[in-house]
Amino acid sequence: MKIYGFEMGRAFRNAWFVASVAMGTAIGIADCMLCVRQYRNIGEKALIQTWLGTDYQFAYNSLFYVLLPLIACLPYAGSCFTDMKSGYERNICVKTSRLSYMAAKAVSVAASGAASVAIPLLVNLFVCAGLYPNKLPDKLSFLYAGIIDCDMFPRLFALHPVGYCLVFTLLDAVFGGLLGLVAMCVARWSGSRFSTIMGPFALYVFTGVIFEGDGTGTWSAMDMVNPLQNVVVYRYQMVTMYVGVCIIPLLLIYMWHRRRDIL
Amino acid sequence: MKKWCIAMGCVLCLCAVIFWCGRIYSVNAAHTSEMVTYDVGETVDLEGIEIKCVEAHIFSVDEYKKNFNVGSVDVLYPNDKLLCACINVKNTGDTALGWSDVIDGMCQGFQSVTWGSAADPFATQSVNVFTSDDLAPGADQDIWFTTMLSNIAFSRHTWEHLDEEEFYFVPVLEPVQIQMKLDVQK
Repeated sequence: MKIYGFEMGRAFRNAWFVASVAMGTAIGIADCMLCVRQYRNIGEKALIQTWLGTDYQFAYNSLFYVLLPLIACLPYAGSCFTDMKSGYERNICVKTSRLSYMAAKAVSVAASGAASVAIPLLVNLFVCAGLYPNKLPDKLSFLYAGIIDCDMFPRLFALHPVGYCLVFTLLDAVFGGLLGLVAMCVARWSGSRFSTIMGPFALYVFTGVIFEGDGTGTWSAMDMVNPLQNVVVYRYQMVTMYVGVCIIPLLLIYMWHRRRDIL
Repeated sequence: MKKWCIAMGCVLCLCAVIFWCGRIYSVNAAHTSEMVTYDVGETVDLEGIEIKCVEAHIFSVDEYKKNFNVGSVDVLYPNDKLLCACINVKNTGDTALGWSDVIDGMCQGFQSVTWGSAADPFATQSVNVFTSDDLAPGADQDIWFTTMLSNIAFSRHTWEHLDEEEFYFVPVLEPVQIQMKLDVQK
């Protein structure tokens, strides 16, 4: 178990984690500041209109969700490649089993990815909550994110907007963690730490554009994780995507590291 | 010294968080609900006019055509439905009101908990018959309003159980939103 604590410590006590969280938080704060500048009267807006996830007025929502893989992978996903190249993993694997090391690495990469995605969204929610009241969305004024019956969690959005924000924060955090695992896979074929981190980003943007669909159901992860739900997402599509993005990288990581000669 | 700085930083952060929690409480405590809901059959007084829902239906396209004797209906898909409400309007003021003012002042749309759609005043143009240019003081008139229920706006489960949904007619959005529960007849 010591290896898990050790890898977690490395994942969370590094400058890249701080930089990643700071980048996400800066996007959220910039969105919040722009809202405050535009709408000085608190009564005009509601929390659900100004939270980064459901604010469709400014470009920061798109910016955050396009950069999500970078925010998730920057903290620790690249360490898989650097540990391998520098020979650091050899020092670890003389004290613990190869499988334990890889499991600990996977857990810490996923945890740091999840945290670096969730923290900016939660900080933004906390800041916005102190500026705008938690009003229920009004469907007929058409000033709120258009989450209606065909979308996911419409009742939660209509009756408990903060609950909706928290559910999507959790989904995004899990997705951030899974992207970390994808980066661990990419490390097998990449030639640098940079390409290890950029691999999931390229995959995310490429599939996001290709699989956007025709408006009724989408396989684009980029659209699925965005709480704005610009495209209708069916629950089975989201579950399939999460399960797929979880199982395929884990399988590939296992197959690759099972026979790899570390020592 | 380093430990002292970290401790001070933590204390300051904690103070900021506590202050902000207080602010969240005060922002939400100052906010009051901006929606009034009227039950089925209740009369709503809208400063000069009184409105009351007489009947409400969900019609298929064929049923709508047959019921209102109209030739064509504007829908997205053939299996879409139409939500119709007959609203009785009574002029309680002492001056006559033009029909445009009456309709503008009493119809924003229809909504349920998870769906909302603006009413289309032109869709019922041929259905509503007005025998005078305006609504005289003390006079009343039944007016039909309708909106489209498109199947792509609903999940499959809701679409198959539309009769279990609660629909509301919304006459006014601001300053306080008013919604009147509809007794949709099956």
